[in-house]
Amino acid sequence: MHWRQYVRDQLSRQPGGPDEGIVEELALHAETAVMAARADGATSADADARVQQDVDRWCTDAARRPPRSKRPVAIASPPASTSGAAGFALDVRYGLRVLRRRPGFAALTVLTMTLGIAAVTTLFAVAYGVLLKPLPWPDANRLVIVTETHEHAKRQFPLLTNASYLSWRTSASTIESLAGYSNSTVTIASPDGSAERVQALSATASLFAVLGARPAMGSTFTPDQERPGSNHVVVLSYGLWQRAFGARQDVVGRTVMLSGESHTIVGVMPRDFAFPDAKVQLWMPQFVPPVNAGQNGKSISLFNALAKLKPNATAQQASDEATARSRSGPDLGMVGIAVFGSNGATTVSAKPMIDAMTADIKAPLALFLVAVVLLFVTAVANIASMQLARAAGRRREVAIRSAIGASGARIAMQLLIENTIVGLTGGVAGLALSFWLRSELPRLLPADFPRLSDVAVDWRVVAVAIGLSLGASLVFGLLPAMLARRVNLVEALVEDSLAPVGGSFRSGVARMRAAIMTGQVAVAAVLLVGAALLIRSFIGLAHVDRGYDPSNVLTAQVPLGNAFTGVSRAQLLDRVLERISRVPGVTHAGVTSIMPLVRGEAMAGFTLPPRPGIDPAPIKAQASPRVVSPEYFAAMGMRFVGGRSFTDADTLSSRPALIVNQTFARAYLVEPVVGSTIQYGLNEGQSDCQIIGIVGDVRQQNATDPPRPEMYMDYRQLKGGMAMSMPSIVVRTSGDPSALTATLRAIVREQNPAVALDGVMTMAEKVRGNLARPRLYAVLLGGLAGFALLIAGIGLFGVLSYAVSQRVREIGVRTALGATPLHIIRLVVAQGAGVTAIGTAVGLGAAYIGSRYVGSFLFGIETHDLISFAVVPIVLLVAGAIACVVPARRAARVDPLRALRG
Amino acid sequence: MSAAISKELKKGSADLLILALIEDRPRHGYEIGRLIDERSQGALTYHTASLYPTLYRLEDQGLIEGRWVEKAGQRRRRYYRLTARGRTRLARERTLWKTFFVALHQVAGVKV
Repeated sequence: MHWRQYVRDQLSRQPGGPDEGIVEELALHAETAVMAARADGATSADADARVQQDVDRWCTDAARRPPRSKRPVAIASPPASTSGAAGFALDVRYGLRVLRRRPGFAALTVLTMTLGIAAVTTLFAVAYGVLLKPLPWPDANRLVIVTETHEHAKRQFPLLTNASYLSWRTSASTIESLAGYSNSTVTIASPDGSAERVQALSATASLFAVLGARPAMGSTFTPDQERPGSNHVVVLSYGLWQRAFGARQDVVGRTVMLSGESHTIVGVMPRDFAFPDAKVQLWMPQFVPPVNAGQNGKSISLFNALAKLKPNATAQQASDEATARSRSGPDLGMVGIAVFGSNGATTVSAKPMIDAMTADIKAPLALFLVAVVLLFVTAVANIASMQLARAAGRRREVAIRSAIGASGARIAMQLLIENTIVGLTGGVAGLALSFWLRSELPRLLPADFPRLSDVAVDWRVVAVAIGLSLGASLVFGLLPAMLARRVNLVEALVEDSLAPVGGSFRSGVARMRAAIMTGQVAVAAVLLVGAALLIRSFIGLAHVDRGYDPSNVLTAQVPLGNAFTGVSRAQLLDRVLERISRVPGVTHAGVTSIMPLVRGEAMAGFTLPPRPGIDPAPIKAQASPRVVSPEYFAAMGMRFVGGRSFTDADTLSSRPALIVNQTFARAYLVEPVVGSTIQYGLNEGQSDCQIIGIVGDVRQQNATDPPRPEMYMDYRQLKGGMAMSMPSIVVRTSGDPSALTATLRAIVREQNPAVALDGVMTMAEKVRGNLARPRLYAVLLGGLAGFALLIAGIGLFGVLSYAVSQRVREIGVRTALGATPLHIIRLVVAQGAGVTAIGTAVGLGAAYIGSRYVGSFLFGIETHDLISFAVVPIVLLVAGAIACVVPARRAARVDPLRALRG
Repeated sequence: MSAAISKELKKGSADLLILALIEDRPRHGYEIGRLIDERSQGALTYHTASLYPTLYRLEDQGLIEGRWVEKAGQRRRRYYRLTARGRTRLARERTLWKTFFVALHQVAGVKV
C-alpha cells in the first residue's frame, strides 16, 4: 500500500489542499505500524487493513482542521557517511540552507568581505599599475630621466640645462641618444574661427628615437627643423587628428594655426602613442640654444631630459659620464646664480624612468597598502570572531554528528565549505566594487597622479581577490572547524549556560575572541593616530597664510603669443582691465606676468652694493621679477608692510619704481627700505630704481616652500610693455567670482577674437587643487580609520554579548545574592574596558614606533604630536562605551530565577 | 453514569497521558502510541484512532510543540515536546486527578 498517496488523497478535502507535513507524518506512522504488525506475524493484507482504519480516522479529523502554520524546519544534517562529489554537493546545499537561516550573519559577513576585498584589490591595482607595470616603450628599462643639481644650490629642479645637454650629446658613450622636452599649451584655431587650448610638447627631434616610436602617417621632425626659422612644423596625436581634422588621409602637408602662427603638419602618431601622457595632443620642435649665445650674455634654458642607455651601460655610468662632460662645458656665470642660487659644480644624474616618475608616490602608496591590509585583517578577524561564537552554539549539533560517525575531517570540510560560500561571494562582490572604484579614480585622484592610465583591474587583481577570499575563508572557517574537532561529546551536551560561576573569559572560545578583539582595537588605534596626524597636518596646510586672500578672486591666464609685441600685449591688457573694472560686483582688477600657483617663474640675477657692517663684498642677488598693474596687489589681497603701491603717477617718463617683498628687503637692503634706490635694468641700461613699497611675502607654490626675494614693477613703466607671453588676470569681486567667468571671456574675445583664456578658475579652486594630495591622504586614511573603528565596535559588541550570555548563571547568582543592576553593568563594562584598554595601549605603542614613516607627509606638526595621540584613546573609550551599552543592559535585566533554573 | 464518566475520564486522561509521556523528552507520534499501549498494559485500551487528533489539538492549544528532526540514516520524523504552558497544565491535571482519586477513595473506597 502506498501510504503517502493514500493519506494525501484522504486529506484532499482539507481547505487549501493536503498539508504535506501531516501527510508525511501519518504515512510514516502507518508504514511503521504495518512493519510492526508484520513482525508480530500478521499477513500483509491484515496489517494494512488494521492500520488503514486508524489512518482513515486521523485523516477525517485532520481534513476538518485549518491548515497548520508553517513551522521552521530543523535543518536535516547531511548524512554522515556520504563522501566524494555527492558529499560535496550536499555540503554546499547544506551550507546554503544554514546561511539562509541566518541572513543577518551572512549579510554582515558578505558586506565586510566585499568592502575589505574592494579596498585591498583597488589599492593593489593602483600599486601594480603605477610602480611595477613596465612602461609601454620598447626597451623601457634602458630609459633614464636626466636631471642636474649644483653644489650649494638654493634651488633644485628635476630638469637639465642646455649646457649639460649640449656638452653630453656631442660626445656620449654610455647612451644611444638624448632628448629634451617641455610642456606647453597652444591655441589651435578651428576653421570656424573659434580657438581651443590643447596641451603640447616641445621636444628635440631625438625624442622619437629615444622612445623607439614611429609615426602612423608622415614623419616626425628632423634635427634641422629644431632651428628657429625652420621650426614651424608639428606632429599630431591620433586623437587630435580624428577630432580636429576629421581623420583626413591628406592631412600631412596641410597647415594649421597654432597660437597665431602657421605650422605645417608633418606627421600623425599611432593611436596608442602617448608621451609624456595622454593629455599631450601635439609635438613641436624644441631648440636647445648654446649657453654663450651672443651679445645678450649667457642664456640658460631648463627642460626635461630623457636618454636611452646603451645595452651594456648602467645608469650610474651614464651619470658619471654626463657629470664629467658638464663640468668641462661652459660656465654658467651669473645666470647660473640667478637660477640655482649658486654656481657650484654640476652633478648630473640619470635615474631609470619608472623610478623618476613614481618617486613621490611610492611612500604614500606603501603607507595605504599597509593600512588597507591591516583593515582587511581586522575585518577577517571580526568574521572569525563571529564564527567562533556560532560554532560554540552549534557544538551540540557537531557533537551528535561526530558521535554517529561523521569524521572530524568531514565536519571540518562542511564548515569550511559553508564559510567559503560566504567568502567567495564577498570576494566577487568586492571585485565588482573594485571595478567601479577604478572607473572613479580619475575623478578622485589629483590631476598629476602618475601613470593612472596604466592602472587596470586585470587578471592579477582578480587572482589577488580570489586568493584573499579563499585565504580569509580558510581562516574564519578553520577556527570553528578546529574547535569542532576538539569537541568532547559529553561536555558539549551540557548547556553552555551551566558554565561555572565566576567565569569571565574562562572558556577557550571566549578567550580567543577577547584576544582577537584586542588586536582589532589595536589596529583601529594605529589607523586613528595616522588619520589624526594627516588630518591635523592638512588643516594646518589649508590655513597657512599664503600672503594673499584667495576668496572672491577670479583668475585666468591670457595666452598672447608671438603674434603680439610686449607693447600690444600691454595695450590689450589695459583695455581688458578698464572694461572689467566697470562690471558691477568687481572691486579690483589687476594683471601680472606670473601669478601664484602657476609655474614658469623666472629669476633675475644682478649685483647690489654691500651693506655696511653686514656684507663683505657686493651682493650677488637673485630675485623673481614680476610685472604687474597697480591694482594687482589689491586684487590679490596682498598686504603692504610699508610704502605704497603703483599709481597713475608712475609712468614711462617718471622715475622707475620698484616694490619688493619682505624677504628681498631683509636679504639685500638696509633701513629705511622705502625710498632707497637700487640699480636694476628696468629698461635698456641700468636705471636708478626707487623702492616705493614693501609687500608681505607670498607663498607662490606650495605652502611648505619658503618665500623667495621678489620685486614688482609696473608694466606701464617698461618700454617693452608686457614681455611675458602668458600673463594672468586677477579680478576680485564682492560676490561669487565664478559668476564673472562668461563676462570675462566675452570681454577678452571682444578685444581680440583669436585669444582664448586659459585656466579660468577662482583662486580658491586653485588653492584647493594645490592641496589635493594632502587632502586625499587625510580623507583616505580617515575613512580607513573610521571603518576600522566601526569594525572594532561591532566586534566588541559581539564579544560582550557573547560573554554576557555565557555568564547568565553567574549573573543570576550575583543578583540573587544582592547585586544591584549597577553592579552587574559595572561587571560587563569592566570586561569591555579591559579589552579596550589593552588594545589601545598596544595600538598606541605601535603607532608611536610607526609614525615616523608618516613624517614626510606632515606639515606643521611632529610625528609624535601630542594631540593626535591623546585624542585616540578618548575616541576608543567612547566607542567602547557605546558598544557596551546593549550587552550591559541585557545583563542587568537577567531574571535571577530563570538564570538559576537554566 | 459510568459510560459518561468513562468517556470523560478517557478524554481527560488522553491529554494527561500524552503530556506525561513527553515530559522527560520529546517523542514522535508512533512512539507515543506504542508507549501508551505498553505502559497501560492494555487496560486503558486507548484507541490509537484518537492519537493524532489529540496531538494536533494539544498542539493547537499550545501545550505541545512539534518539530521535524532528521537523524542520520533515518527519515525525518515529527517530534513533540512539552511547552511551558503544557507543563503548567500537566501539573494542574495531576493535582485534579489526585483530588478526584482521593474523593473517589473517600466515597467509593477505591484504592490505588
